[in-house]
Amino acid sequence: MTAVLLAAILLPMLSVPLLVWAGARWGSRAGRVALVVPLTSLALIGWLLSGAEAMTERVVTIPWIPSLGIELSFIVDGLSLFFGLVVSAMGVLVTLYASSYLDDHYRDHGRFYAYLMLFMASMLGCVFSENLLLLFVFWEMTGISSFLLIGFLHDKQDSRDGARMALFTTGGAGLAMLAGVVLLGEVTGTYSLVALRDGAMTQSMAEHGASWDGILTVAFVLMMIGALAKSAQFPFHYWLPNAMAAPTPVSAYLHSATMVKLGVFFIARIFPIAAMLEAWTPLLVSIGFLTMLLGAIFALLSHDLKGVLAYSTVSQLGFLVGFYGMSNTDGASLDLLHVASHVFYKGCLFMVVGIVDHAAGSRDLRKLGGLSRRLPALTIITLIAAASMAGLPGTMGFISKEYMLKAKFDHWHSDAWLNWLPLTLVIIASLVKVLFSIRLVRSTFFGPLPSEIDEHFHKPSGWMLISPAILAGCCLTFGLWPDLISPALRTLSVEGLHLETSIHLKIWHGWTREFWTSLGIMGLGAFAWLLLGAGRLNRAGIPSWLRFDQAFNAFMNAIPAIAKKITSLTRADRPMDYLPIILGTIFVSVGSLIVVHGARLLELTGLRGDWRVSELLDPLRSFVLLLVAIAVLMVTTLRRWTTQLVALGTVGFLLTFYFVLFRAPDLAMTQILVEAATLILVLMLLSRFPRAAETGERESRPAATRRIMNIVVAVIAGLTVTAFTFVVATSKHAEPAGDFYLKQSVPAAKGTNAVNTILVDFRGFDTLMEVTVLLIATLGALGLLMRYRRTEAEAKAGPMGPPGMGVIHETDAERERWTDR
Amino acid sequence: MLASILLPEIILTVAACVLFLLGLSRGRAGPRAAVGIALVALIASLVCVFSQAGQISEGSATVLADEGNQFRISAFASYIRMIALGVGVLLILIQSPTKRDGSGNDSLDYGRDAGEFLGLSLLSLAGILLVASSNDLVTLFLGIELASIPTYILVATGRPLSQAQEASLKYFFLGAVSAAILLLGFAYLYGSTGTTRLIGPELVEYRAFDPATGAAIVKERPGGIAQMIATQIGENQTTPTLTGWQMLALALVFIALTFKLAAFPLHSYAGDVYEGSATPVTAFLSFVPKLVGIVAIIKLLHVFSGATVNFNPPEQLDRLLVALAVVTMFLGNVLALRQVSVKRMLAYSSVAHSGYLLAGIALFALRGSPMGDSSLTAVLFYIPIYGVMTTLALSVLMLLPTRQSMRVLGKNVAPPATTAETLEDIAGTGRLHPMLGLAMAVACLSLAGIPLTAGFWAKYELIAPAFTKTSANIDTTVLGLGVIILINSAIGAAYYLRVVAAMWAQPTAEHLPKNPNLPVRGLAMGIVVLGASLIILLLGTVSQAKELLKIEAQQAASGLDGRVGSPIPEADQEDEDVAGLVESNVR
Repeated sequence: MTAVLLAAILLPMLSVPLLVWAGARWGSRAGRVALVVPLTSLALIGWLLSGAEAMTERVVTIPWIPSLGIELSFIVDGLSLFFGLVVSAMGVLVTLYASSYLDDHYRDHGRFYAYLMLFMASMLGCVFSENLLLLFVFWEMTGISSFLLIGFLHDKQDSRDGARMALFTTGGAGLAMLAGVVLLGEVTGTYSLVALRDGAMTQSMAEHGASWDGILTVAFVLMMIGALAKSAQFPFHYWLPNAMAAPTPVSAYLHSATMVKLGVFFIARIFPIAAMLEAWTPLLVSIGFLTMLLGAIFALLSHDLKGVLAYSTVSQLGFLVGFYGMSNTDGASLDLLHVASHVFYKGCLFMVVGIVDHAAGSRDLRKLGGLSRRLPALTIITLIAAASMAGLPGTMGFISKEYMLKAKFDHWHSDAWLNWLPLTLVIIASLVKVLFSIRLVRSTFFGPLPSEIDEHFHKPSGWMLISPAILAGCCLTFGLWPDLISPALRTLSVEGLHLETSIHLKIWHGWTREFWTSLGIMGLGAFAWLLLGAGRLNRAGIPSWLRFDQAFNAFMNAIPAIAKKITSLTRADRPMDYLPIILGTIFVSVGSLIVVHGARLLELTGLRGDWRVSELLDPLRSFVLLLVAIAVLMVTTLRRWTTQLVALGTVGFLLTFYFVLFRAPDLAMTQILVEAATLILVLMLLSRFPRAAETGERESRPAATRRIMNIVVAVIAGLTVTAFTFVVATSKHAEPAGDFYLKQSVPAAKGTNAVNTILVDFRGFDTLMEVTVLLIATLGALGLLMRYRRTEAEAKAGPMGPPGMGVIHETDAERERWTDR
Repeated sequence: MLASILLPEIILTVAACVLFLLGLSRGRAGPRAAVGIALVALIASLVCVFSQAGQISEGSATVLADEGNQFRISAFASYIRMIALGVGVLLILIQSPTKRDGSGNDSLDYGRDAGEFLGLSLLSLAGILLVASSNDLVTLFLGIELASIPTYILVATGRPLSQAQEASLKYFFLGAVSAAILLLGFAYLYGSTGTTRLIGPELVEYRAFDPATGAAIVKERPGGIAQMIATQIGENQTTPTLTGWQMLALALVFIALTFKLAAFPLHSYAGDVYEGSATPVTAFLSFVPKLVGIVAIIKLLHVFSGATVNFNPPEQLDRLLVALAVVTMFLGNVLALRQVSVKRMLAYSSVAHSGYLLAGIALFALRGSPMGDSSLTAVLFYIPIYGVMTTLALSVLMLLPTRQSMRVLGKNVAPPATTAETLEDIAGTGRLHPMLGLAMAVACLSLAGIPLTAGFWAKYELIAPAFTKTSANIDTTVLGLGVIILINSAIGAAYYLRVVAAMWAQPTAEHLPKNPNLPVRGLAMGIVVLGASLIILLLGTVSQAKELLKIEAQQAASGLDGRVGSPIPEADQEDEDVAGLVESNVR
């Protein structure tokens, strides 16, 4: 059995390269070849089913990455077999349909079937997974293969957008699901679905008491986000209609029959585990039924045939989600019937739409009409499927709806709102469903045949009719003789999920409540159609505030726009621009330290008591300070480099007065020498600069805000440095180094000038080294300065940049080219 | 012995001097010989480092230290020196000349000064080695500057373009700002601890003078900053209480060191400088200064948590590190997102990678975990991998077809030393040169952290500790930081994959010859590209190789603290010359 199961899953995956090759070789005929693959899978799964007389569940485990404790663990039970059958059987029908649909107008047939088989393999892997992590891996693989399929016609913009939207929405929500799965696994200690069902969950809840309910609920909600997004439930419903950009076989397969059912499948899969949580019913019921109603209304308001079907799929999936939410914790019943019924009629209708599109060249309900005369067989098929969608007696949809209403009437929930809300919503949604079913058939096949359609019309291949005909046949057969399906449902019932084991479906139950309700819905639906008419519906549309896809696209477009904005805001053209950032960070970190540690800083600095304000207020010193301040202001306000330098020199020379006033004439002498030398050197250097550099590179005055910011930054920087100096100068040090030198100057170095003794005695070697370094640097500078002599012509041309510095005056356009990438 | 401890540095410096002299000769063979000498010096230095590492792991001593204890070779220092020299070999190889006249290769033009250029590179590498082995604020600062100053010159002389000069000036100015802030911080560190030694003996005696009488007395004080800080660990405490000045000093030092890392707030030069430099210099810049910064930060953090077995720096430092890391990651990634120039993109991505490294250190600090812990291991594991990845990416850029012309001063001119730089330049080149395309794909996937590459494991090791429970209560900051790293990796993947997409999926630019023969660009480049690709794939796929590096990193991380059994030799009692030595570390 292991081999059979693995073959069923792996065969489609292994066929991928073969199909690519086949496509390259045979073009559109590759579809016939591809048909072999799903047929084999179907046969293998059928064999698995036939081998299971009394349906017991079997688990197959193959070690995969033993070191990480991950194994390939598959489960074969009713649920997985049912979905496995749906996936492979629909695979057969869709491949058959696609082999005619994708004619020679399309390219890359091999790639298409390869993607399709990859998708089928992922689906099969997903439904047969027993390990939650394995399930997640396959889950994401379906997302990726569906991305490839939706974007198959990748030269169209809406294909790419739809594919991106589907991938982001389901993939993003998939991450939430992964988080939920990991949380659940870490809390309970196992990822095995069987182990979780058989007590790991209840045991861990019992062990840890009520406090873990919260964590489990979070895990559950996270997993549900993933599942609901996959099934296109509100508020994630927007991606499904946009995914309709895919070729129609893809829509029929992925977006009606299989992939969107994964969310529902996942809910059914964890039903035995999670249904006991309190959040289960309120979450699923509210989202499910709300989506059901919204989907139905959107379906009525859409004009694109595929859009109608997409929204009606959303609606039906909402119903299924709500259905599981409503079921009491012991189990649900007949859920598989509802799923099967939807698969039959929706798959059929999608294929019909594909044929209509092919034949008439349009999918717009407002433009189509009168096709029944040209396509009588297709009209009959559509009538059956649409009847099933509307739930008319004699079709499977009717049986499904009857039993659903019956379940609702029979099992009253203890909470009143859980009875009335779903019931009301189901009735309203069914009504709307009748309406759009009528509209779909009426607008497409009846009424006058528009001339444009008539001109474009060409007859579709008969092969394309096979698949929808089979599906419509199923709708009708199981609708007329429902008991045919009950043995299958009995066999496929799953422990912990399904309630009844003795299922006998009947078409006629007598004059019951549900029958009257059904009749009422049909009657009201027909009446409402007469009242509204096609014309009024044609003018309606989905209100824009409910178009979440537009919001999504706006969001996606905003991301690069924001990045560009940030890039242009933080670009680093000039060092001037990023100085505030650096200084700002220092201020913030230092400032926050002072705020946090203010007391400790002050305590440590221990302001010395002998600091006298009167010294500062001495008139002579105050006057010098005033002059220094004026010179500093001149430095900042003057515009030319030369004058600025002179002002800066003034500051230096004024400081010598200060030194003199403090009775330090040697310091004053040094200061004068240093100032003079520096000033002369800088002026010499400037004389070699080009004129533009001398006057400043940019003449334009910066904006007012910019200037204010500069002033603020400068003031804060000044204050910070002042504060540092002040605090350091006034703080006590345990052992000031100065005392030692003053005391030892005479006894140890035999000199009375402490400065001199430090330089030549105490730190004599340091001084020697310093002098050496200075000498070497001077020699180097001399070498550089002497290296270059200007020619006569160059000297006449005026000041210019020194060689090698590459001072080139670029135009503004050039600058931007290099700096604003 | 000082000389034996610093032998690797000495070899590099001597080789650099030889190269400078060689630069004076004008022979044809000069440039080739220069590369040879540089490589020999690197290998010789590497051999020394390995023999020292052997002494550390086999001998009873866990560190090698000189008498003055100014340099200490711990397992950590050995590891850093190994990876610096190992990646250094790659970085020197891509500087080797391929032009006939030996003036450089397609993206590098050092004219006749090949010896000078390579000598400066060696000096810069010697700087990292010095930073790794230093045990004193002074030697640490010297090492940092020795590593940095040559890079300013490399940027300017790498190619004769005005952008290179512009880049160099910007780089130099910001470097000066950062050095000033760093020195201010170091001054406060010295002022608040009374010593510049990082790790010293428990107590040292020093001769002082009684201020009252002037008589010589002997006093004792903690032998190093670490010991000083250890006295500030109160009873029942694991964290030292730093004084306000020490905090202030460390904040200044860390902010200054972000310049070396190209992290916020001193990240802004990255775009211009990386783009303006010649491509081999860009590779040099994206590894050497970063390593210097990270090593200095780890050392100082270690010392300022009291050099205890439990690494637990004070809370405020944690916060500063977390803030710098988070801002850097987001800034780097967002800025890289819309760049058209691949070099500029790699520049901002290197900012983001600095953010990851800082985040690793922040995680380490936050979790207050023991030495050799997974977070520090992860950071040490990350650095060499990052170096190889980014070198590979830039080497491939160097090999791609040269731009036919570019606009300089409004005129179309043949570009000097300019290889492919923008996404437009590399469009479709993957199909023209499949091997180069594959190598670039390997580099980009690894930078993005895709499984089966070394970059994946680097990121994995970095993130995993954030999600590992160490104690009963979950630290939301740790968890949050882990999540932020994850988010940023996701953003990062976007722009790395864009490069791969451009090379493989876009139509080839018109100016490229349709059927080109890749010009022979030297054996050296081939070795680098092939070697780096193999290293990345080997580390990514063979778990033994990855474990080997990880164990090395782990030993380095746990060998950070060399105090246990460290042989601090008795200093010779010098003559009673009072004047000279006021503070001698005499036990």
